[in-house]
Amino acid sequence: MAVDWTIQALGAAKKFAKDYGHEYRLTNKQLSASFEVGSFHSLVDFYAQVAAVTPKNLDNGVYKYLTGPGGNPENFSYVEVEHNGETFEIRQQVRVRSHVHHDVCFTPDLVVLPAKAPLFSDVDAEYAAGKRRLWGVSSEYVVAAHECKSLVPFPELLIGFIGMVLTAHPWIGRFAAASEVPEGPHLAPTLFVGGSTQGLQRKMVAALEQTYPVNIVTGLHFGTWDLFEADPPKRRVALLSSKST
Amino acid sequence: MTPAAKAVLAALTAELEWPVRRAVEKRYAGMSSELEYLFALKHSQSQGDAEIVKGEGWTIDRVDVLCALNSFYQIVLGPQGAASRKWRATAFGALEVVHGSSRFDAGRAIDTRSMIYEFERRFARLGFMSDVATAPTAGALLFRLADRFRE
Repeated sequence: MAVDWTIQALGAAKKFAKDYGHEYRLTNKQLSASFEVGSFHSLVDFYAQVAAVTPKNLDNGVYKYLTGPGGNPENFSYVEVEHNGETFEIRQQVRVRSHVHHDVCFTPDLVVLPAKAPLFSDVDAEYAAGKRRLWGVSSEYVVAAHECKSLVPFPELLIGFIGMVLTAHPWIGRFAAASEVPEGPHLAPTLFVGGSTQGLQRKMVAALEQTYPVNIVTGLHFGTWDLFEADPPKRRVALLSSKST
Repeated sequence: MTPAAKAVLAALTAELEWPVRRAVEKRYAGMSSELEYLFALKHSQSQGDAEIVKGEGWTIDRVDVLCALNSFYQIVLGPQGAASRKWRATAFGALEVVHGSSRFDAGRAIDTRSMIYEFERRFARLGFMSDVATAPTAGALLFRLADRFRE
């Protein structure tokens, strides 16, 4: 009986590869991009429930996604969010210079900024031998930064995300506890994770969400992507960035 | 690592570029080693899970194939499924997104959803359903498989 089952499994695998191999044959970069685009969809859809969202800076009608920190964000598409008279932008791969130190710069996958947040544009001899500009935005403008990982949520990934959150959001330091952070329309800093949790990892996710004003959304390879009507609800925060435009 | 699981994985990953194939194989190797260990345990929750699934005709060979399918699903199909969701924001319904060398549009999303639906449909017949597809570890997979048979 078991032999029959394994033969069936092998037959199904060969047939699937024959039928769809040409379609699922993506590179590592393309797979990573796919998950990031899915997370981007999810964030845009979250805002679309309460705000007007508009794709901006299109290239002949195509949304040109910034894929790395080397590009000038002004040359790529973004999403404009209008909520109660305030305007924000959802951008991808914008370098953030942290409030903790001028030399601490990093690039979250997705970031929500006040509209027209000023970009710094430095020439640094230690970056691309001074031949390219170092683009970015001060963390003082960051409303929320989000990370996307198409991985199993192992503990070090979760802790790395918390490090990013603390380094990208100066407003977090103003509150002694996550429960003190005022609610608002913005999705709290969120880690989008493809894999699901079990046992201790699930407890760790719950503990981190209780301790910090964050969301850790797991199981996205198979689960719901509806962040707005999620059960239990996803944490939302007010506009807390210390600088706006 | 059992011959059946290795053959299934080889069939699914034959055409993948080396770094992706390596990522799938690495995940599978980790799960398979864990599974072997769990099947050999004498006293633990996982040993109880193994006894339950064995009692239902699930040999280590069969569960190992589920680990291979899980690895392929999580590394290759899961991320593609992410980009194929339907937009709820109407302004984006027909929007094409270009991300480096990748293009994402409504037509491609339909094809991808269809491919993933077919994978789920074809392997569901063999017991590969969402509970085991999303399991983070072999222990979790074994637990979820046993859960189907627990009273």
